[in-house]
Amino acid sequence: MSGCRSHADLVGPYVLQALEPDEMEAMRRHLAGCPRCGAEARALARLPRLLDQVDADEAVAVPPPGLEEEILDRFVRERAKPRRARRRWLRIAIPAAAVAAVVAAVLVTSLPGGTDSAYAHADLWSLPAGHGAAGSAQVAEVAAGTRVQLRARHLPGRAGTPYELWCVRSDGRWISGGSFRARADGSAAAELTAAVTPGEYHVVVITRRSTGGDRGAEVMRGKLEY
Amino acid sequence: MASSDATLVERLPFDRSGDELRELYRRYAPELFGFATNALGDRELAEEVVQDVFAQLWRHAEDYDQRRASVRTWLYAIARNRIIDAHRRAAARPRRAEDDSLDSAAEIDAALDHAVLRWQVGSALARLSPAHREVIRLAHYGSLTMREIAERTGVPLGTVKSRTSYALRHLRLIFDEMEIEP
Repeated sequence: MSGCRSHADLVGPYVLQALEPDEMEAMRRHLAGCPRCGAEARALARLPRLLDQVDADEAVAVPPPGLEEEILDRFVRERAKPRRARRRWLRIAIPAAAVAAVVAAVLVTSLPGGTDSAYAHADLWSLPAGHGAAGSAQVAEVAAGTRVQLRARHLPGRAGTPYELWCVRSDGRWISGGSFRARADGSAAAELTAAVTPGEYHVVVITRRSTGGDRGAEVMRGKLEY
Repeated sequence: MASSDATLVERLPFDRSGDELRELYRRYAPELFGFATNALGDRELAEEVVQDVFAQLWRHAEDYDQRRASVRTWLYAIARNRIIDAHRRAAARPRRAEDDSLDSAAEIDAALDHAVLRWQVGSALARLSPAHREVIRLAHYGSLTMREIAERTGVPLGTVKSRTSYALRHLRLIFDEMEIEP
């Protein structure tokens, strides 16, 4: 509903008390006798109180651009984990899982590339904190996102030292692909899944595992060749 | 045709690609983030809240019952709980003189309602055209009369008046769409 033909444009300014004093008074008299303008004024009357809830130049908070990727990355990684077996099936499930693990190990050994075709590859070169470490990363698109198959050797640190794999986008955004541990001989093999879009990521970095929100020291880095 | 919110949540337990989650994120993350930022006054904590809300969403999608609440109401309920947790953690820390942590559940509820309203009003204003936003800014926040606005901006007085009326009507429609009772 809008006001009458002669006064419709004055209802908004009246509600905001932005007319001159004589116009305010004239409008008050008009509203008392004009049902259309009266209804319009009532419909808008509470807007000033709502406007008072914010400051004049208050910016609407917008999520940072990387948050979407972080959430999806967490989702895809969580989904990639096998679901925990129900307790009543544990007696059957544990021996079955052991057999399955042996079968899987044989398959991984005999089929090092897995069944997914790699679409990018990176040779990883040691950085100062890597003390001569070397490795490679094969990247393949899988249903749950992007799988990175990592092989590393001569990693510094003791057995069980945790490391983290990162995919770095061309705009500088780092997305964690998860963490893995070094074996006693300094080697490591891991398959990690990250919610990264094929072609968007051009660098793979291995760091010491992050602690307290701080990224660990860079150990190796390599450029993905598509 | 775009899927309804409830359909997306229904499909979430079978979503391996993240497509359903991404769609829900794009529909709700901006307002949840705005709400959490207003409620907590801290963007990093607000990011954590939004992450937790979506983690809850995908882990408990099967629990969602559309007969009981809309997806939006459900997400806000999760966000409120996360924000209350954050307030409680803040209250448990030794208090400094300048701290204004909230104590009672009623205070927290009132603060959360206010945070939602602030986000809604702010985003409604952001949806207006720059010209409409400008007249509201000058008239309401700047306390200028129509004549003073016309002098300051060089826009004819009649145009300023009609623009102000259109701006308020448009704002009222946006509030109606957002289900805010002006």
